Amino acid sequence: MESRRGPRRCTVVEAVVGGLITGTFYALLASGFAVILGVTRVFNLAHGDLVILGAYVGERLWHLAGWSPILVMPLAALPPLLLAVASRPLLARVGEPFVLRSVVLTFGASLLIQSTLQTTFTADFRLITPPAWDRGISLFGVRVAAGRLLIAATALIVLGLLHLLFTRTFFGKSLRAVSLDREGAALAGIDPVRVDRFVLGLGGALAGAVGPLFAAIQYVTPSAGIGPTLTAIVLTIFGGVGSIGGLLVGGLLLGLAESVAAWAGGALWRDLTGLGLLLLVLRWRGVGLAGASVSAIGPAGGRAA
Amino acid sequence: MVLCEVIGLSRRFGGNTALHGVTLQFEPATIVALIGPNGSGKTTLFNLLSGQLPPSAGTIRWQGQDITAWPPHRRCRAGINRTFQVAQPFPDLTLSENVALGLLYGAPAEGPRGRRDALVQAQDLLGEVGLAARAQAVARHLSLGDMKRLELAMAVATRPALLLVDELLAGQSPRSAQELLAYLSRLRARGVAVSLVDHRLQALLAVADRAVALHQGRVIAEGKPEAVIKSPAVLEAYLGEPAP
Amino acid sequence: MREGGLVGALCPARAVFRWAGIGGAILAVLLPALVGPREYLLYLGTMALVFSVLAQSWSLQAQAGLISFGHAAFFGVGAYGSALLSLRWQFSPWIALAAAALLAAATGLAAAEIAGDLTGPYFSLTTLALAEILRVVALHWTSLTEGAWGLVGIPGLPWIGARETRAAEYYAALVMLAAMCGTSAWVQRAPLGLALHAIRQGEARAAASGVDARRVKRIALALSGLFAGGAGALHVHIFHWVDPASAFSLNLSVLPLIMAMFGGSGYLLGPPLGAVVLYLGNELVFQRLAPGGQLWLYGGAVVLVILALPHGILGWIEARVGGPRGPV
Repeated sequence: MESRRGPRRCTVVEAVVGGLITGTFYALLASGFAVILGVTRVFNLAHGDLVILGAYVGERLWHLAGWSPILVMPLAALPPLLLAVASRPLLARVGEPFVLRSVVLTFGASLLIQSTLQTTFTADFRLITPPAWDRGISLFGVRVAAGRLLIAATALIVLGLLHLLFTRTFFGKSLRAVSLDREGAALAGIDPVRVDRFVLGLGGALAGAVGPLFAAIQYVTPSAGIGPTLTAIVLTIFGGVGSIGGLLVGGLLLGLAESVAAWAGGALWRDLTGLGLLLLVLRWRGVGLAGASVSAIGPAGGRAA
Repeated sequence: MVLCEVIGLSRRFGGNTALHGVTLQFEPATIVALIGPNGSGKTTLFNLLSGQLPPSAGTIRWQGQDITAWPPHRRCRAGINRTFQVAQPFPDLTLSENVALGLLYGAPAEGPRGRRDALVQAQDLLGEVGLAARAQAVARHLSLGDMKRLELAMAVATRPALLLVDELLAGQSPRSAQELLAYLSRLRARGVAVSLVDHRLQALLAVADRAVALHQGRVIAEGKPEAVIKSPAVLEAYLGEPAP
Repeated sequence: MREGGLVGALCPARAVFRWAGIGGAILAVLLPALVGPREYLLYLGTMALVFSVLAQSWSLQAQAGLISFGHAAFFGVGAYGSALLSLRWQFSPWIALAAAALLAAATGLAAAEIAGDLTGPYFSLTTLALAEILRVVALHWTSLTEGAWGLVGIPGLPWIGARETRAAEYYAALVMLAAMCGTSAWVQRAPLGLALHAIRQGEARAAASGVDARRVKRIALALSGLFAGGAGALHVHIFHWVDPASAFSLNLSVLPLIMAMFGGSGYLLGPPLGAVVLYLGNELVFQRLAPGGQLWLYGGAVVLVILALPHGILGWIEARVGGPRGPV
């Protein structure tokens, strides 16, 4: 995702630095999706629409009250959080095959969210443009917009906090327990329903919180959600659902690849790079996970004989 | 005449070596019992033979040809087929349809002409394993014992020359176990090579021509069934102490 | 199993469904005569048929567990293919349509190769990515496609005596749907149909029974692409224009999914039923109440199907009347 405004990048170094900065943003963008997928097995295709919802909240608060996109992140997180948590009982009603049906369900939710946004906010293109953010700052000899650096710093801080949550707190460990083995975790006394509710809320909140940052980078329209969703999918599949570090590495790689592709060939090659990487990552990780998995052949593919 | 040969076959899962340099031969019209404690590599060997898993090392030869790289469907059509330890028929198809699939795709040259023919032949095949009455039922609700019979019928439908039977007798009453073993003997009489894995050793060894004992992924004994189960290596593996 | 010849194959074994199916077919053939000079109604009927073809072609893949989120890829290839052939290179629209459908079938083969052994949501996401790639290419390859401006002035389908009428379009769509349903019925009775269902329920087990899953999927995707491309080609000759957003959009991709699942994708006539109900419901009813709000309808239909109508309308009806076995 490129900024649709601002000076054209003219050096490859600027493209590289800009891509890496965007990459940290991508990692944060993906975190909500990854958290939900990891614990509840749901591919939330409405993820991007939750981001856009947060983006509209941020944009309205900026436009009407002048509040900085960074500061409104908690507020922007709220409606998506509530929506996500409210969806838990619906997800419980999804039958088998769960993963496929939940994908279709979240897609339906995506359409509904899009139509709500369209009705409420119209289809105008919107953007958050704090003047201070345009100021150029010199980073390693490269001029970067101050706003971009602010976004990257915010992303890194939130990602760091998430990492601490998952690795250092008891709750984080119970999240990982549920993602690895739902029944086992339940037997150990962890309530999967409460964990689901928490995780959905967290994932929705992360998606919504990113929204105002998104609105400062790119035009917001009701149907703009597909972009963030695809980005989140690429990074989550690449990095693995449990790993914030993996998301970050994947984000940096994706941001870098897209930025260099855009510098070399324009918007077409930027988009093709992102989509091509998605295809690669799906193919690389997908076989052996979905469908003809080895565990279908015998107990754990050959453990007991 | 050697039908199938495995040479130096190995398979690793991460740090765990499930099979280690196994070399075996299968000949037509024989029943080979594959015995060994849990974890000795029996199902892994079957998975490698039928193509569900690739080996980490070694080769598999079929009628002289190297088939190590062949995918499962190709091996099935060549004549290797198996039942699965965890029975997994197609849950929403009828028993006839489950079997018909193997008839249609397992040996296309000799198979029935169309779906309708296949369903009729499937009915007969189900009769051979004692499931004729249930032919139109959907597979999802079968008991464990019946699922195993269905697995057998599905495997036989593909006209195997080498049939690998994994834990067929689980959940069977003694009488139905006898019937199934008698059926396997009839298959042997038709020239099929059968390899059996099962925990009901007595029944197994009564019908087997040969036994192969595996332990921790290696072949530790091979030969006539009575000799194999009395061999020191086997007794040590099963009972954990050297025989007196 | 459905029995009783081709008609029996076309409708589920329940007599009430069979008669409803026959009645619907007769109505469909006679519609232009019944409608007379009200061209708008005929146009609606044509579009309902086009979407029926699209939905039916989607469900052909779905039999094998291949749930496509990118069906617009085939539709768009057919649309742009036929547009370019007839507009730029002056082919007769009928020939262009046929050629574009074949091109879309080839796209199906390519999709099978790209997806490889992927199934489930990974396959779905792959199809989504493919459709997006085609949209982006169509958007930027302006020398070929005129980019976002799209292609205009695409000729319509000539009827007898080089005169184009709405009736020609309608009957073309009807013939296409008949061919599509005939293909579906044939697949359902052939070994291929059994293989498709088996792959969906256990690909590893199917391979162990001798099914070459890759090959079967290739055939399913090629057939699916053929008819979806035909629908796309027909579409541009009716509308006389095409652009990347209308040909390759994600919302177009999921329409056949929604329609097929709503009608009941496990049934032969489920997808056309869903297409007719949702399309006509949208055009005749919904747009009056909430203009421009069709996403409400489609999103709501999806949620309803997943949560309450797992086998679509036909499944719900069959459960009420106690059908023989339900959908496969």
